[in-house]
This record gives sequence, C-alpha cells and structure tokens, in this order.
Amino acid sequence: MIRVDNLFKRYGSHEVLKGISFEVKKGTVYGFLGQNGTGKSTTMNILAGLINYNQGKVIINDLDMKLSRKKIIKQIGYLPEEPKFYPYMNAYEYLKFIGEISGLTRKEIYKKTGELLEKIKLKKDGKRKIGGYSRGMKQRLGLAAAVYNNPSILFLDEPSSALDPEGRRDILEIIQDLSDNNITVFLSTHILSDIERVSDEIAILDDGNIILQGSLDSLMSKYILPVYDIELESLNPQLESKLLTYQWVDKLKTDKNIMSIYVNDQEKAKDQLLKVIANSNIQVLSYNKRKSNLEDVFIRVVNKNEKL
Amino acid sequence: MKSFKAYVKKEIIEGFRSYRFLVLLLTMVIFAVLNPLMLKLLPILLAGQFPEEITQLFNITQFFAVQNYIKDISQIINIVVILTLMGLLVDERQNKTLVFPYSKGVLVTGIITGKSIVYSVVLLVCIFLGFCINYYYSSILFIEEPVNIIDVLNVACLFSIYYIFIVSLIICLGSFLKKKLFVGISSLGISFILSGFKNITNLRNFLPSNLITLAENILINSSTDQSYTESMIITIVAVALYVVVLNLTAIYRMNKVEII
Repeated sequence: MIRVDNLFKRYGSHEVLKGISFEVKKGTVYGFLGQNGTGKSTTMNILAGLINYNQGKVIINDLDMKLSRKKIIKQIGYLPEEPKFYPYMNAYEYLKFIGEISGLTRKEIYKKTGELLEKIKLKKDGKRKIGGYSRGMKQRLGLAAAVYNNPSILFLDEPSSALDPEGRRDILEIIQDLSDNNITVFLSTHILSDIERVSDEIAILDDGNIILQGSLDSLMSKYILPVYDIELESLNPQLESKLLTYQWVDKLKTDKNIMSIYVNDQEKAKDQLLKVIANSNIQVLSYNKRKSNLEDVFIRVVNKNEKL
Repeated sequence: MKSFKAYVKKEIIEGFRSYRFLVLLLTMVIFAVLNPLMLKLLPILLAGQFPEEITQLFNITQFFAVQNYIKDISQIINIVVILTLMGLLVDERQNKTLVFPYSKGVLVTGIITGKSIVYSVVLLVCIFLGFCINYYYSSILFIEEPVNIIDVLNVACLFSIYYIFIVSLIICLGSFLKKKLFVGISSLGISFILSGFKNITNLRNFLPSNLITLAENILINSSTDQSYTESMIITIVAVALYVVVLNLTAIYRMNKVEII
C-alpha cells in the first residue's frame, strides 16, 4: 500500500510538486498520467527513495519514507525511464550483480537470473554485451532488474515509451502478469492507451497538482459524455428541434442521414433517446454509442485546469 | 559486506574490460624496461656528437639507473594514474549507472571502499612489478654500484602509499564534481601544489608528496638514519589518516547526493 499526503518538492525557487496526495491499494495497477515536465518522474524518484522531498508524508507498506527508507527500498522495485547499465557487462553478469547487492545467495542468483532472462525473452542474447542492446532490450533488462528482489510494489517510469508496438505489448503483458500475482504497480506514462489497458485506478498530474483521480471505470462514466450516432432513413428537422428541447442533450450534429447526439446524462439518454426517435415515426437504420477513451478525459480535465 | 563484494567484482570486470588495468600495467612495465635500456644506449647514441672525453663521463651504474627510473616515474606515473582513474566515481554519477544499485539498497560504503581497495591493490601490484622488473633489468645491464633489492622494495612501498592517497583523492573529488575533466585537473593541481610545498620544513612531513621525496632519497640515505625513519613514519601515518578522511568524506557526500 502507498499513501502520499501533501507532498512538496522544490528545486530552488521552482516548485515541482505542490502538495499532492493519493493512495494506492495493494495489488492494483495505478496509472500516473501527465504531460512531460508535470512532476511524474520526480514523484516516482521520491517514492523509490532516490531523492528527498521538502514537505509531506510518504507511507509505503506502513513504513514512513523519512524514517525507514532502507526497509522500504528492500520491498520495492524501480524501473527508471531510461535504464542505465554497465555497457561492458552482459545481461547475466548485470543481473548477478543486482542479485549480489540484493543479498541473494549464489544458488538463488543462478536460478533467478535464468528465470528472469527467460521471462523477458533475453536468454538468447544474455551473453552479449549490454552496450550493443536496443532500447527495447534494455527496457526489458531494466524490468528484470527492477523485479529481481521480488518487490511487493513496483514503480515503472514510462516503461513503454520509445518501444515498438511488439515491445510495448510485451511490457504491458508483464505488468498485467505482475498485477495478477498481487504486486502493486505504480505506472507513470503519457501513453494513455497503455494506462487504459492495464490500470485499475488513475491520477492525472498537471503542473505539480493532482487534478483528477479515481478508478478508471468511475472516471470514464463520470467524465466521458457519450455520443450516439443514429443513422436514419431520412433526416427530420422536427425531430432535431424536439431533441434539442431535452436537457440531457448537449448538442446535435448532422451529416448526410447520420445524426450525432452529444448527451450530458448517460442514464437519461439510454432510457429516453430511442423512445423519442420511435415516436417520430422515422425508420432507424443503425444505432451506435460511440466508444470514447481516456484521451478524451485527459484532454478535457487538463484543458479545464489550464483555463482555471 | 555484500555491497562491497559486489562492487569489488564489478570493478575488477570494469578494470579489465575498460583497459584501465592494462594501461596502468603497461605504463609501469614499459618504463621499467625502457629506462635502463635507454641509459645503456645513451653513450652509443651520443658517440660522435660530443667529444670522447664527455661521453666517457657517462659511467652509468645500477644505482644511477634505478635512481633515474624513480625520478622519471614520479612525474609521469602521476599524470597517467590521474588521467586513467579520473572517471572512477564521477562517470557513475554522470552516466546514472548508480540508479539501479541505489534502488536495490546498495551501501555507499561498499561502493567507495570497493573502488578504493581494488585500484589501490592494482596500483600496488603494478608499482612493485615495475620496480622489480627495473631492478632485474638494470642489474643485468649495469654491474657497477649494485643496489640492494630491499631498498628498491621500500621505494615501491612508498610510491604505492602515495598512489593509494591519489586514488582516494580522485574518488573524493568525484563525489563533489560533476565532470571527470574537472576531477582530473583538480587532482593534478592538488598533487602539484602539494609537491610545491615540500620545501617548507615544518609542513613537509605531513604532506603526501613527502613520500615521493623520501622514495627518491631512499637509495642515498641509510635505512638506519634515525631522522629519515622518523620522517617516513610521520608521513605514512599522516597519509593513512588523509586516505581515511577522503574516503569517509566521499561516503558522506554520496549518501547525500541525488544520483538521478
């Protein structure tokens, strides 16, 4: 479990984090969203125990970061945005080095290294120097290093950025797999589709403040205003005028014989829209609720915040 | 202890694969071999260019050959060691290779002592090897004025202590400075400034550079000379203290510094 209360971080006069608070439940995948430079990596580095903070409280697995940093570090794993290794080592040597630092026995290191290299699909290239690895291979090796000490919480900073679609899919599958094994994953990214795919809860960070947080489902239903695309046999101006009189209709657009109805109350729209159309005696050729995504929520809340 | 062991192994791999060990070893060995050889060839090379009476003055003995090697390497090795090792700690900070070890709870004491001990041992081995080779080679080429091997080993010992200090200095500066070039320039500057102070009698015994002065004079002074021995003990104790202070400072600093 992670609990952050009123966290502040300043670099000189520049305030990177302005009192953020959030809680991450055990075994969930927590998506931490935000544009570049909003303080995501700073938050990650604080939670990973790599940098200090000026004010606030960070509690991880019931331990206070200020008082028990060393104990916390043993329970967490961290993958930086751009993992750096010793280029002259190979993957076997590097993971062995990480295992030695983590205090594992020689037998455990041998077993764990083999298992992890197999899992991240680097066994074949395990004896090649890391300096010759692609970015995706380094990212996978970084993930293996992050989970080497069997952490109960894993911090992943932009794990899939700069990866090809296959590499991204692999990383997301591993994250899903970790979550299935009751490991809490704190995932920072600006790739919204990744968050949408694996996260249970999300928070959106903007200019050092959390402007939105909650479960993905509740946020989607709360912030996404659905659009119904209805294909009619012919358009009817009377129907259009009638629809606009309802309070649950936000706006209406027509294109050829397709009417797009933007609603602000999903429940009422679901209940009444078809009845209204049926009463107008116009034949409906198709009825489709347009699937919106997290990107809509993100753009909406960030833009709203900018206006504020 | 686990951090120390992991870093000792890591430094050994790095030393071999980055050719640092090779550079240090070759510098010592090449100078050890070439120095007496050049002295042997010197009268032949100068023949014909100077009157015969002058070239006959070059009566080179083993004592002269070993003494000449000591003077040469005290200047050259300092530059080679600093330029080779200036990135020892600062490279790790600059390249962010400490992020994973730190996130796994590595002990900074293990990192600093691991680096310090590995390179101190390597320099000690290289220096002793260089002096032994030079002693052996000069004894073959020059028969007159033979030198006692014990004296040569004492010289190697003093040189080694001096370079253990230089390694600690480089590591300490690396924990404060962000670029290896600055570490190199600062280390060279400090070592030159310290050797500049060697003429101040009251300070001399407390300066690491006094080890080099003592080493240069070891073949001239008898080992039973009491003032010489006293001076040597004071300097060795002072340098040992500096090494401890420099390493502790580096540990303190690396515990405070944000490595990301």
